[in-house]
Amino acid sequence: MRLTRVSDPPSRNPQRAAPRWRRPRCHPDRYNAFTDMTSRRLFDAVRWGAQDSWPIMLAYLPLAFSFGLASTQAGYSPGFAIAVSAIVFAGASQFALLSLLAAGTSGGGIILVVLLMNLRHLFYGPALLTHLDTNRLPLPVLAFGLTDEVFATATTRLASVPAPAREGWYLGLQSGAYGAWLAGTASGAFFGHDAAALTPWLRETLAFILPAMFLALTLELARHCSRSVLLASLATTGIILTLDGPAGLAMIAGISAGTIFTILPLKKAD
Amino acid sequence: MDLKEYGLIVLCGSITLALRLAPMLVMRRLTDAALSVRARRALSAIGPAALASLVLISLWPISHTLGDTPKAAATLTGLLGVAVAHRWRRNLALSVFVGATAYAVVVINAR
Repeated sequence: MRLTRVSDPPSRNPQRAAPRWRRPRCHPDRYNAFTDMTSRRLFDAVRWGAQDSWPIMLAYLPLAFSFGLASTQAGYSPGFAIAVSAIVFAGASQFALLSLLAAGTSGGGIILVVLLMNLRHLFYGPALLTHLDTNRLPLPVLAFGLTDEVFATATTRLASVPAPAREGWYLGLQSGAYGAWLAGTASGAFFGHDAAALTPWLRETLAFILPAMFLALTLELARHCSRSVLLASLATTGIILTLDGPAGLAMIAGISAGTIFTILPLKKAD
Repeated sequence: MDLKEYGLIVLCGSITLALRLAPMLVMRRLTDAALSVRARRALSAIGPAALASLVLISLWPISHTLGDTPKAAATLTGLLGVAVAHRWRRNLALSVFVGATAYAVVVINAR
C-alpha cells in the first residue's frame, strides 16, 4: 500500500467538492492500516520522507558545497571536510569550527563556540517528540539529524503524516538532508575549484532558497498557530540582530519570547 | 592533519548530538501526566517561534545588500513569489520553486 498524506480539512460546503489537487489520495480511515507497521510500510514511510526532503536538499547543496570548498582552501584534505560534515552535521557551527581550526584556536575555545552555537538545539527534541507517538527507532537516530531545517520542515509537515508512519517519514526526511549535506561537501571539496564556472546568478539564486523555504514553512504554520507567537519571536530576534548580537543568541531569545507569549494568557486565566 | 584535529571533530560532533539528544531522553522519561497544559502549550510554540526566528536570521545577511537596488528587487520579488504561490497551492516545494524562479528572473534581467 502506498502512504498518502492527510490533505487540508474538508470544504465547509459538502456539496462543493474540493479541487482535484486538494483531495486526499486515499480515505483517512485507511491510515489505520499503518498501525501494524511492517518493514515494507516503514520503508514506504522513509521513502516518502526522503521525497519530502527535496527543498532541504536544494538548500543544503550550495551551503555544503561552500563548506567543502572553504575547507580545501584552508588547506584541509577533502576527506577531512567530508569527515566534519559526516560527524558534526551542523551547518553554521561547521563553518565556525573550520575558521577557528585554521586560526589555530585552542581545543577548549573551539568546543565552547560549538556548544554555544548549538544551544538552540536543546529546544527542538522535546517539541519534535510531541508529534512522534511511537518508539520504534532509537532516540540517537532521531536526534542525529535534528538540524534547524529538518526541525522546521518536520514541525510543519508531521501533522499531515499518519501517526504510525511519522518516525519512518522523519527518518527519511533527515536521511535526505544528511545525504545532500554530504554530497554537497564532497562536491565542494573535490570540484570546488571549478566553482568559478558556476554563473553568479545561479549562485545567488541558490543562496535565496534557504530563506524562501523558511518563509514557506512559516506561512504554512501561521495558519494553525497564534500570530502573537510569531510576532514575539520575530520582534525579539530582530532586536538582537539589529544590536549586532550573534544569530545563535537571537534565535534562543526569539524561541523563548514566542514560548513565553504562548503561556502568558493561561497565567491570566489562573 | 593530525589525530588531535580528528579527535576535536569527534568531540564537537558528540557535543552537538548530546545537545539534540539529552532533552529528548528527558522528555521520553516524562509521562503524559507529568506535563502540565502550560508545558504542552510551550512545547507546541517552539516550532513556530523557531521558524519565525529562522526566517529573519536567514534574510539578515541579504538585508545588508538592500542598498543594491536589483538585489533588493530580486529579494522582494522572490519573497512575494513564495507568498503568492503558497496562497495559491499551499505546497512547500512549489512555493520555494516559484520564489526562487522569480528571484532568478529579476537577477538575470538586472545583469
